[in-house]
Amino acid sequence: MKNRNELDAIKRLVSGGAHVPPSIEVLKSELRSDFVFEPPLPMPPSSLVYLIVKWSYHIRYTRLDQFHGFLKDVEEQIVADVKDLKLGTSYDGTYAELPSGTLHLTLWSYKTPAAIDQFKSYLSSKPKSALYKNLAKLASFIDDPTIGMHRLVRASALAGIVTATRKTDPILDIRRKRHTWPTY
Amino acid sequence: MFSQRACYAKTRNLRMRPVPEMGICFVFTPAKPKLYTLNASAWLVLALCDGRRGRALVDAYAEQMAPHLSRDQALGEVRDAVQDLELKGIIARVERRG
Repeated sequence: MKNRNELDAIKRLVSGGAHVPPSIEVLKSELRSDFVFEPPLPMPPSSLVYLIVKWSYHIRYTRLDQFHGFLKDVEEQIVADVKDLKLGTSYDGTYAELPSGTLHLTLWSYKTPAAIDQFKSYLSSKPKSALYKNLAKLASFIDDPTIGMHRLVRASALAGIVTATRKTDPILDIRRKRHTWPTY
Repeated sequence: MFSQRACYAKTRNLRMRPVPEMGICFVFTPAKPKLYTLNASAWLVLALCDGRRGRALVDAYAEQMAPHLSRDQALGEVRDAVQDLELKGIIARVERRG
């Protein structure tokens, strides 16, 4: 807007409707990503995990041997310690992508959404436990600003929510149209 | 403190994004990184801060807001708004131009 036009536009705005005194508010930022929804309860069958959390990160080349050695020494202990908690949480291992080997993935799974909070609560209450120390040590190797956290939710838990959330998804529309094309 | 003798202008590098359809204007202050939402009245005060004196600012605001506000009421609103805008680094006092 040019200055003159801008002033005219503002004058039109303030002259219409009831008078409101000036207000200058700090805008509270809100982070959003498209097509995000929280899965509803109830949970899927109890024999299956509800959520898989995948960390993806790079380990510095100079620390690779140290990291792999650390995992070789303590990974079984981590698995056992997490399992013994009986919270429905599971440490599913740390994997290196070949051939380069600096990209690593650490997988966690949870049987219920509540298990996440219970596990978190346990860790914060037991900072001197071997499990806490091992996980803190594991995390200390992750010196990577590009670390990614991905959540994979049981698809069956999303039944009905996608169509309710977005009825006109453009990609799904294309697919729908393709399936209704006549065959010759 | 608002002064009718002082001159007011927008601060340097101020970023403004008018959203007339919502009757608001977003303002970003790079020097003190923050984003603000100004309603139409505050946006008018800001638009009037083009280097003019405080007294002229009140006159222009009062003229626009008549008959809803008396000049004294307009003075009160401009004083509060200018103080707030100045405090937030959206406007600043400047030397008289010309």
